[in-house]
Amino acid sequence: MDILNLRTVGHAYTPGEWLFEGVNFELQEGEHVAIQGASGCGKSTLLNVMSGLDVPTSGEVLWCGKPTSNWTPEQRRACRLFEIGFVFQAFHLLPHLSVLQNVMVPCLLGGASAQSSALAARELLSDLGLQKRLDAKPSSLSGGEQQRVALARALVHKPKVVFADEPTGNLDTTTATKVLSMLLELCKSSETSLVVVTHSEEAARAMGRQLRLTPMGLV
Amino acid sequence: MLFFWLLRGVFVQAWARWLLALIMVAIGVMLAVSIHTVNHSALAYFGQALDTVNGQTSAQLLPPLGEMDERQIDVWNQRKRQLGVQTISPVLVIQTDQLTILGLDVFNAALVSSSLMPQAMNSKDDLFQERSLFLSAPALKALGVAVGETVSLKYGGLQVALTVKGELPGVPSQVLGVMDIGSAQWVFNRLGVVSRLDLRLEDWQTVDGLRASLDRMPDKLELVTTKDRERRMSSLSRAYRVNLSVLAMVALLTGGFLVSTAVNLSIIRQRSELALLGTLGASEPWLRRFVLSQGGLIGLLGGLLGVLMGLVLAAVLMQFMGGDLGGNYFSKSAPPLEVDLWVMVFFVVCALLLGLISSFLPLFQINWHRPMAVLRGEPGEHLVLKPNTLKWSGLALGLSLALLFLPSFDELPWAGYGSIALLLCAGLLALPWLLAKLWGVFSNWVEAYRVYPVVRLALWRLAQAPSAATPLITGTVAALSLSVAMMIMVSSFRNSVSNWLITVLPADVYTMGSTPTEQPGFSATVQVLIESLPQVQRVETSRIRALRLTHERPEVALIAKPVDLENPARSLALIAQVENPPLKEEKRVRVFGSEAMGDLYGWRAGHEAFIPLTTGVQQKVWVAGIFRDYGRQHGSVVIPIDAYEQLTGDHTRTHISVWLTEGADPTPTIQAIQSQLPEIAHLKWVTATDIRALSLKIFDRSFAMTYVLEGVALLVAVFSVAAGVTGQLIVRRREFAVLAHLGLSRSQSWALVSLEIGMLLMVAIFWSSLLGSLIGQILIQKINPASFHWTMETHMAYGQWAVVCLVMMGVGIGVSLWAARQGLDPKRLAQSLRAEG
Repeated sequence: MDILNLRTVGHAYTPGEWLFEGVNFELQEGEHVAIQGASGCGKSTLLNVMSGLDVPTSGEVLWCGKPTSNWTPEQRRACRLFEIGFVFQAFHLLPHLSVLQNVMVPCLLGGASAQSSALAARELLSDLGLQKRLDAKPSSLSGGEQQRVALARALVHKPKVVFADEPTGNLDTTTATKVLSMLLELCKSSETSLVVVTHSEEAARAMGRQLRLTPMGLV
Repeated sequence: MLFFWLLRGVFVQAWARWLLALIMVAIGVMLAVSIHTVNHSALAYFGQALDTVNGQTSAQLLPPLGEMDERQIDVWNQRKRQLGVQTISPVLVIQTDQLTILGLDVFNAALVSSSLMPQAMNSKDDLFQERSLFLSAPALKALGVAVGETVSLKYGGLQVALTVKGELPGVPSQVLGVMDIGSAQWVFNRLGVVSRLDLRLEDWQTVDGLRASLDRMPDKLELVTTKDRERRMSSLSRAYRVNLSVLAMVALLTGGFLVSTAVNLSIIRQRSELALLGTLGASEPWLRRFVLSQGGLIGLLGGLLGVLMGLVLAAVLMQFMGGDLGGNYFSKSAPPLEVDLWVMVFFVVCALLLGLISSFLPLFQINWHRPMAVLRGEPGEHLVLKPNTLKWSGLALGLSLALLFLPSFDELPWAGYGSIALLLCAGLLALPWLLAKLWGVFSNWVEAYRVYPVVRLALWRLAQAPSAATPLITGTVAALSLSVAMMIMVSSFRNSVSNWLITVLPADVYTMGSTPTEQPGFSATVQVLIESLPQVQRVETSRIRALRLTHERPEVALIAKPVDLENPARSLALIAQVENPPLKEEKRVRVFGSEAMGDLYGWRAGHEAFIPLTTGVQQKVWVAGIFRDYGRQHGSVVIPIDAYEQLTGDHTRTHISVWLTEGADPTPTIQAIQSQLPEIAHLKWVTATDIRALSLKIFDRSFAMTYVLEGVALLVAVFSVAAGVTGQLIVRRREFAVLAHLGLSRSQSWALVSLEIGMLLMVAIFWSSLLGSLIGQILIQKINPASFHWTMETHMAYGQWAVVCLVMMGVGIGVSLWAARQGLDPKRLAQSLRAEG
């Protein structure tokens, strides 16, 4: 079953000036997709539209077969909270929380108890080799470590899809390869779908399907 | 739990700024609590003292001029049954130099005011002996005497020696003496006079019933009940107390702006964190609660700390200043601390609400609907929600103007205070619009000219990011506006008082009594004797008495003195005069009323009024003019001395004014008067220059608390700038790092920061001065006349204003330079470019 469907989706910040239009896309359970494109072509905007953070100017987005156009902000929030994970280029860890606390955030926001959240976070951080850095603050971590914490945060609440916006953009090649393989490994093992926006050819090749965004749609 | 973690993180991250905000709230609450507690304690204590002096009686009959013929007692005794009165106890009040003595008829007093009953140590006969005095324990302590010893007291020109024969067990905490009324009349030369009649009502009679019965009497006395006494006691100082409390609330409000600045800066720092939480699924209400709780917590903790600090300050103030905060309404004796628990709770709730409201406004800094844009580090200005504050500003201004037309409520100008608050809000809400317009126009204008690049950069920044600039100076504008307003009001008042003193003190030397209305009079013949001295050119004598017009208000001063009816402005500071006075032949008693008489009793120039110059008779008088009297807030009436003598039969005087011959020295003249006239040797003489100096000193003392609060407001303004600049630099570090890479030198970056702050402060000073002037006018034209019943002319203290503005400017630029040097060092700038966005 398709988790996500985009039907002739288009987006324009200014009426008439289309960033892209006619985008058709479907994402299946456990599928890993890379989206590439020139700078400024709207990759991140498309990711926002897919994840429900932005509303398309035209077309329809279906989540698990259901149209989202009439969803309330609360429904979109609930979808993000329980079914989506995010990874950002700039990591975006909360600086005054420890590594463990950062990873627990999505579970706690979803109403899970502190104990169960900590258990899930510890397990995932251990899988990512960070079991000795649980109490460290983000500022004391290397870039690779920070992004691994961000991966754990994206997956800890067992989402259906992880959206990653340039997840290796701030990392050196070796670290980037390592982080990307960890992300893929975790998504595979948990059968989580993955959509990655990237400029990196290597990162794109690691995904099951590669698409390129053009003003006329995804090809 | 997550809520707690995040909240802790916010406070730990910028603890110094939060602590500062907390302290400012605490200072505001502290001032409000201390002012309230001192006033509350003083009122309770002096109210208790008043009750003691009145023997806890529930009802009293008082003559309008403070004394009556004792033959009246028989008349009232005959009316007892008709009035529902069981017992009448006559009382003579003697105010000596060291204590108040009550002359009582002990047989009746035992039934009416038993708490005042003396306890003779030896024989019951001591009660009636001519010079027997009974003192309360505090009076024994204050006078340093024991039972059996003799005490010497001054009363007017008399020196009276009395023997302490016992104590007053029913008076545990007041300095008071009691003696037999007959003896008191004899030894103090008050034969045939009583001050009041204390009443014990029949069981079936009520105070209201008695009042109704008295209203039907042709020659009624004024009925005063316990409730009336409390109300009059409270209304004596009420306007002053309310004004002080409002000023304290203003200090609290300005503290709120600092909380707002702190929350605002905190939000700017947390913007990406809040956006991340929003992206991860935190709901908008949850995030709003998170932001609100930051200010709420600071408000709550600041409130609690403020209450503690306020109680300590109140205790210290009462130790050093007694129960008086500068208004000269209470005596200097220190009352015990009385804590009004519910009011303390009210102040904490106020601080909590202030914190919540302070956090509410910065919520507009967050565009909850575009979290990803924030996370991607897009420029901040277009991510800020821009509500139409100009519309709200217009609405607030309209409401402020409308409130100005509302009358006082409960004799206090609440609508005026509301108008000031709304005007301030209107000014603050118009700030974003003002900044955007002003810098936009200025920046466009500068485009055509060759200017120093740093100036251009500063102007670009100010024109394009008004949302970042507004919170930086909001607190400053609020605090400075209120300071300017208070400055204008105090300066106008002081200047008007100074001019008034010149008008009302035309002579060279005056007599002065500490409680002029309670002094016994002396013979009018002293005038002739003083005039016979070679150094004396002219002498005027006058009689000042307390005149009770209604049981609901404090007494007014009745001033009987020579008045030139052809030109009354020579000795009165007239503000309204009847253009066509009655002809000389017309038998009208012409009087002049102070502005308070107009406000409180509806007196108008050219209209008729009634004053009870003799017991039971309402004398019709004609108000020939209204004059300014800064010395008597509750009203005064000037009546020509000959008319007074004719109507009352009182030929005594209490005050003397002396004009000296050219070049005569006042000191030997005063000595000559005192040596030749032992009858008035007890009077204190002062020169007009000394009275003016003393009056202005008292004036400054009564405004001491205003100056303190003005200082607090300015302190808030300075802190607000400091906190704002520091926070902005942290947020803009990356911007400066880029500029540094592009070739901006360190000194240029410091200059850029200082220039931006300097230009913003210029706008802040301009806007605050405008707002402050308008608020000052409301204080002068509305608040003061309604609170204190006097008007004044506007006088701007330009020098003081310039100093405050220069200090603000200097401190602001100094702080920004310091912050720039601290925050923009090359190492930190390099780090900021590497840091996550």
